[in-house]
Amino acid sequence: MRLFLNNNCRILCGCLLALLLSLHPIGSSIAAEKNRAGISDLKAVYVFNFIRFTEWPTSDVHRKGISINVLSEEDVYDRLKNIIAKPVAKGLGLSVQSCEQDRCIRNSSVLYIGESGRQDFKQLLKQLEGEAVLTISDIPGFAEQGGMVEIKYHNKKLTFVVNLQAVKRAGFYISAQLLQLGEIVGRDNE
Amino acid sequence: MKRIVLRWMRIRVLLPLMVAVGISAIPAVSAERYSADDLLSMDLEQLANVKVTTLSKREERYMATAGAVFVITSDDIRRSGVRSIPDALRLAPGLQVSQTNANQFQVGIRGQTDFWTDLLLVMVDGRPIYNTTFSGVWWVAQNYPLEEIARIEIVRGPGGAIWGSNAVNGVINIITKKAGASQGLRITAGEGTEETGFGNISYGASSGDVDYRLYAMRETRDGGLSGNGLNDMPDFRRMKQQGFRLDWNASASTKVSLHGDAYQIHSGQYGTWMPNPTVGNASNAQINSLNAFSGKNIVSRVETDIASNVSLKGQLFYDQYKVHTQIIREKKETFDGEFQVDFSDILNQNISVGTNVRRLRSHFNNTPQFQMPTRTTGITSFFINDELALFDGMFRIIGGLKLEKNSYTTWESQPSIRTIVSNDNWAVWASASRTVRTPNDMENGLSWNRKASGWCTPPRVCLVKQTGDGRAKSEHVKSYEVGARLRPTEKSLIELTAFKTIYKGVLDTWQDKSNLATNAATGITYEYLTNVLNGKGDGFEANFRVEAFDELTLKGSYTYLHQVYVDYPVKDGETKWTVLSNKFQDPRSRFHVGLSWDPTKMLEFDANVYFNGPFRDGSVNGNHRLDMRVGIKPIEGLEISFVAQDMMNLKHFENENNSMQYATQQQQRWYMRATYLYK
Repeated sequence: MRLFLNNNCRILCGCLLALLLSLHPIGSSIAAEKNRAGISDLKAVYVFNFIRFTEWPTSDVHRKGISINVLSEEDVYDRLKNIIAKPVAKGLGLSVQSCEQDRCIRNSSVLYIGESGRQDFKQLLKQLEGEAVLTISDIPGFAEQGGMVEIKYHNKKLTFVVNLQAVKRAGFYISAQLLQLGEIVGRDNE
Repeated sequence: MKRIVLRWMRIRVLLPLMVAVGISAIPAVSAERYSADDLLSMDLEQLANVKVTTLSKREERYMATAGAVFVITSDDIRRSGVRSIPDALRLAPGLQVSQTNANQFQVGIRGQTDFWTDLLLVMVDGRPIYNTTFSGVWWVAQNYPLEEIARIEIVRGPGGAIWGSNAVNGVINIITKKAGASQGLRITAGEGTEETGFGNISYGASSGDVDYRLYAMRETRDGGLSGNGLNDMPDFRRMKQQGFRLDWNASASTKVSLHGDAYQIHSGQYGTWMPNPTVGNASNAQINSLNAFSGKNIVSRVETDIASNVSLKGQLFYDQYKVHTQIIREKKETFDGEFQVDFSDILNQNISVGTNVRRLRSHFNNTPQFQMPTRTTGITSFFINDELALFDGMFRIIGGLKLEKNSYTTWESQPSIRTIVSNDNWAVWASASRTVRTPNDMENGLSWNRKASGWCTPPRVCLVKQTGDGRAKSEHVKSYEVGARLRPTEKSLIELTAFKTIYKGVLDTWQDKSNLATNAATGITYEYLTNVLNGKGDGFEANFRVEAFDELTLKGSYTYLHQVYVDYPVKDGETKWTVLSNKFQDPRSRFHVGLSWDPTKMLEFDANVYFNGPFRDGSVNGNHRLDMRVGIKPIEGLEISFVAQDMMNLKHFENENNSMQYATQQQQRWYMRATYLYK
């Protein structure tokens, strides 16, 4: 039995020693940095930034705060819930709810539609026409089809597309700082 | 003493080595994800340059896990139509689930499947539910509204370096939904031919940062059929359970949860009983008896980040159960405290250290046939786990060590080393581990009188006293595994694992024949619980899942197991029962194939076929099982299911009799279930 234990210990120590030795020569050739993020984490941070760089047409949001409704996207909802509790978000008066179908429109300042809400999104956009609700989604072609901001996955990174016509029609003002980094569809001259 | 010194020397050699590895690895990459705080501090330009992974954190962890893991999701459980937790475990590769009668299940991983299976660590939300009396699980008492189970995580193979003793052949962790994930009022009710009535009600709501859920459930199950298929047997089950869960986001980085359950179960059984266990009078009576199981538990858990890369987890729980069967009558209380610190990206490694202290108070109401002492026992353990990631996280090495001591052992060490090369779409991994199966209460205090046969010539009636006199030592197990997983497309997964396990000192009963003359004179022989076998098990497990279309998912698994046990060190032909039990209950092959199809948005169809066999001995050669389900969702929030189970047999025995109960035939059965969720 003792022989067995000692052998085992020797194997483990040997492996760890081999690891120790193998790390020394290669250590300096590789950089120590983080370089990626979970897609839902990044989507939620994008949503937060879109809100920061957007001005609402009505004064309601100043009074009642900004209410984010999330449809069919539990991961993004969880991340947003964490973000709004952080000090950086406290001053913006944000609240977030997970919602289903028609209930998403009620009391909403921002509506995030997850990809599995693909079947319902056109009907929802129709119902929201003229309302001061910032619509955001990762459904491919969302901005082209009347949505305001589309989060797009391309080449392992996330970019976004803004439909200027839809944004202006609802009376929103989106800062140029944001617009210059995204792709634009629905310009006045288009 | 020498042994203790040797152990300390081992620790003293090992720990500085691990620290040295850490320091030397400073320039190496630990491919960590950006945290939410990292991302929030970036400007938009920087955000646009962050690479993303399409895997969720859980999927990413899954792909990067250097072990044979499998997750049964909430949707898998719902769509399979199963009505109990052990039945849900049939969906996983490598697990052998069999039903002796309507309320007694056996669950094993990689062999030694039996009512007395003692090599698995089974937990509900991190609270162990295996008992230290016989190291197994009273599955009849383990229930939860299936709709509120988030997932069941299964680790096949050793997990001792983190979870400790009993995690020899695997870990099963049943994880319930967070209160925030089950908001609203949900009512479930159903009735069937064998599941004669079941229902549960749960209500979840929020108040500020606190989410909570309350639930109550009730189920009745009919007994099986006798061997000739003509009579109903008394192995029914009636259960009630109530519970709550509370999740509080105390701050952005602090989460607190508090949950508890209470249950009351009555079940019938047909088994043997010796009313008068004395020499000359001992006779086995066959009786119907009523068993009662009740229990309660409360668990509190805190998780907090004390720095951007240091987090603390603490858990306290109290658990109490009472078992009243014809043979075993026990009340056990467990007090447990667990504390863990995770350092992420420190010296470019992820390091976890933790400790666990458990106290158990056990009270037996002894019967003339079965006696155990009333006592307090304890378990103490420490662990360290170190993960190094190199080359953008593609290559990882994980070393772990757990030191554990219980009331019957000295300090036992359980080391493991694992390595994995992986990215989002494929992984190849290998591991070597040493685990221990530590002696339990029965091996340290049992006196169980049984009727003798063989050496006692009729009409004389003699006794065998099965005795746990403390001679059992820890069983030491070495395991080697290699595995691969592949995601050919975003919606498919194929996994393959091969393993070899070497057991030294498997526990069994052993009759001391050296005193045959004295035994013959007194009419009593002693049968000891001790380490009398060495064994080897090897095999492979393969599983796949393909979401072929949005509306069609296919999944399945195949498991092959080969086992050889030899009696060692005493080769007297007495130590055959574990080997026989394995031959009866561990099939050489098992497979599962499942299909989930949604012909329309309102309609769901599911079929699952399970097979296990051939068994190498006994009267049950193998089992086929086909379960089918049709689910209809006529309006939002309402789901109606029609389920047919065991469609390939009108009635059949799935397992042999065992020392606790007789087997009954399980019948083809149907039920209807409706669930309504009002938000």
